[in-house]
Amino acid sequence: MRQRALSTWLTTLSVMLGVGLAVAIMILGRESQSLFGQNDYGYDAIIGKKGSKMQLVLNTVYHMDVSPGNIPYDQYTRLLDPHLPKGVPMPADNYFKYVKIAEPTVVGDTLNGLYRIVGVKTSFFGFDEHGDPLKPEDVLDYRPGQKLEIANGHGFAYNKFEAVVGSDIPRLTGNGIGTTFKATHTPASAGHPADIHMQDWTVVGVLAPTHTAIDRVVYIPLLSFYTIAEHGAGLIAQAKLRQGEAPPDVDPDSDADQPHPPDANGIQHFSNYNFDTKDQTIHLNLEKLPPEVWAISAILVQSRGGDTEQALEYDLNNSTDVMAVNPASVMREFFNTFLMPMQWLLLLICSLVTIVAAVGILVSIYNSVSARLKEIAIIRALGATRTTVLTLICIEAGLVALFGSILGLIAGHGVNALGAWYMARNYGEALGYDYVEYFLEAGYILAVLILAVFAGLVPAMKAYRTPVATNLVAT
Amino acid sequence: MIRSWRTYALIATVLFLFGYPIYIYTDALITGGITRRGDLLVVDLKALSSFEMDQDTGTTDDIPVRYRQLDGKRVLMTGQMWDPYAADGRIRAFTLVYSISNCCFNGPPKVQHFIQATVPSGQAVEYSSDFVDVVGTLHVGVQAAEGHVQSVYRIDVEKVAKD
Repeated sequence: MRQRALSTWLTTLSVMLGVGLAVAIMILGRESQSLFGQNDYGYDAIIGKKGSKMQLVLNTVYHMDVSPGNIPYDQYTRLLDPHLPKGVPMPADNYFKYVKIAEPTVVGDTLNGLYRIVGVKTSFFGFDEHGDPLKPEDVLDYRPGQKLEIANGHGFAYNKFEAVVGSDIPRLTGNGIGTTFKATHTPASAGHPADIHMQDWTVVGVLAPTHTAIDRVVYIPLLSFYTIAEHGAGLIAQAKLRQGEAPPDVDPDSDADQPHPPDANGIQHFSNYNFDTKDQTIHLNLEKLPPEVWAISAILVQSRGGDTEQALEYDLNNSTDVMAVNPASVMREFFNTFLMPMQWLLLLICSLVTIVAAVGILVSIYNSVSARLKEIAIIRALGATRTTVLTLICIEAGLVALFGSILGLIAGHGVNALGAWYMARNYGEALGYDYVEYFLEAGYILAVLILAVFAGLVPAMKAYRTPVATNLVAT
Repeated sequence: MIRSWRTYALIATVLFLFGYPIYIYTDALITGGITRRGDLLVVDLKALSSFEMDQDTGTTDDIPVRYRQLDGKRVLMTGQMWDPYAADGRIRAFTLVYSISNCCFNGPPKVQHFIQATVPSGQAVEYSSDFVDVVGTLHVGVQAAEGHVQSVYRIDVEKVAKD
């Protein structure tokens, strides 16, 4: 091998490129799957604006894509209102008989333009508005049998500018407990400064890891979402439209509120709310923003089982404005239609790349054997058996494959490290390039070694059959 | 006397085309979709769920007697799995329906169409979008909550196999 250093290194390089490509593909396949790591859900329906089912699920569960639109807040209250007078029949649009738990969510802003801010109620984390824990059966699971847990700090108050963040947020943004942040409506773009709301939220709790998109989400009280002047103006405009009236002009770039000094009672007055500086509580201006104009992005629903999810879906999907989707069905269809064929395609590419690398070894060693018939004959003349020659050639093929594979492994992870750096810098989502799947990657390299040894058998057989006398005479 | 084999073939074809559906219909009418295979009762899911019942106020008495008598019996049923909580993988509970597309989209779904299937604790079955054979012990009876019938049929699953 040393005597044919260039040829050997070129063959090793081809194996390295082959293995590197295959490893990179394997990592990409794994990461694309883990991007949709959540394949089971603690809720069986998501209610949202009528439109794309996929968009609603991606937006609500995976915090990707944009919201399909808002639905009136009373859509949520109708799901949970059992307090009808005796003898009054349940109205057709009351879905309490179908719904066990419902949690509204509202989206629209981000932290630093990257991490989604979601407005939710305190019950989302298992507490009522007084901070007392709810019964476990009344708390929504984010996955079957799993509820959100606050690992550090505590849940937010429903009427304060407080926030609970996902487990990855402190590491990714530095927003740990006690830090404050502002919500970004639109990140800065060419010629336009970032649209950042004036309110400051304080992080009071960090969630335990869920290994879902929740880990990168910032949760704020639903009420605090409506304090933002632009949101209030938007809600009023949307409510007017729903009532068939012309909406007032809303300038999306204006933020009507500026910090005002508190009055004699310590109250700061803003366009949508009053802020009590003594106890730091929000008092929404209900005359200007009554619940009738509130809107939400989606409602996560856990049905009562049986046919109730189907019945809810059927009823709502036959209405005009809202729809209910079953996230498991939507994602099942997505996995079967897109991810599964992609994985098969990646597997096919991996196989072809491996075969190409093995053929490269075969051709290289075959050529070197053809050029070394004299040396092989001399070795044989010096006493080496045919089996020794065969074994030597196979070991050579195995060593080339081993070195190439090790280099390829490093190259594959290196390429993904570059991709991870680029994605983290530009999109805030990094690939897990540094995680080695020992079983898969070691298994693959073992397969390459076996294939290489088998590929080496072809030139090895040629060497095995080399007639000693003829080749010595030829020299 | 008919001698031509073509004539026999024609008669056989006509008999099959008309006779088989009539046989299926008559058989379901007589047996109610319940037949015996060894120690199992093979139950036709469509027949089992094809009766009218008020979805809010229905009671166990509304279930036809022949189906009420299946309570506690070991049965084999063929249908489609529906799991509203998992997109893939191994699952511990699911709903069995005779056809997802026919039961749930052509008109309001009815609770009697959904068999609540529970896999024994510590076990799980692989989700399949194909038709599956489910063997287990059937429980029959209306369970209601919050003004709505939540369940009519439930099955403790012993085995699930692709049809």
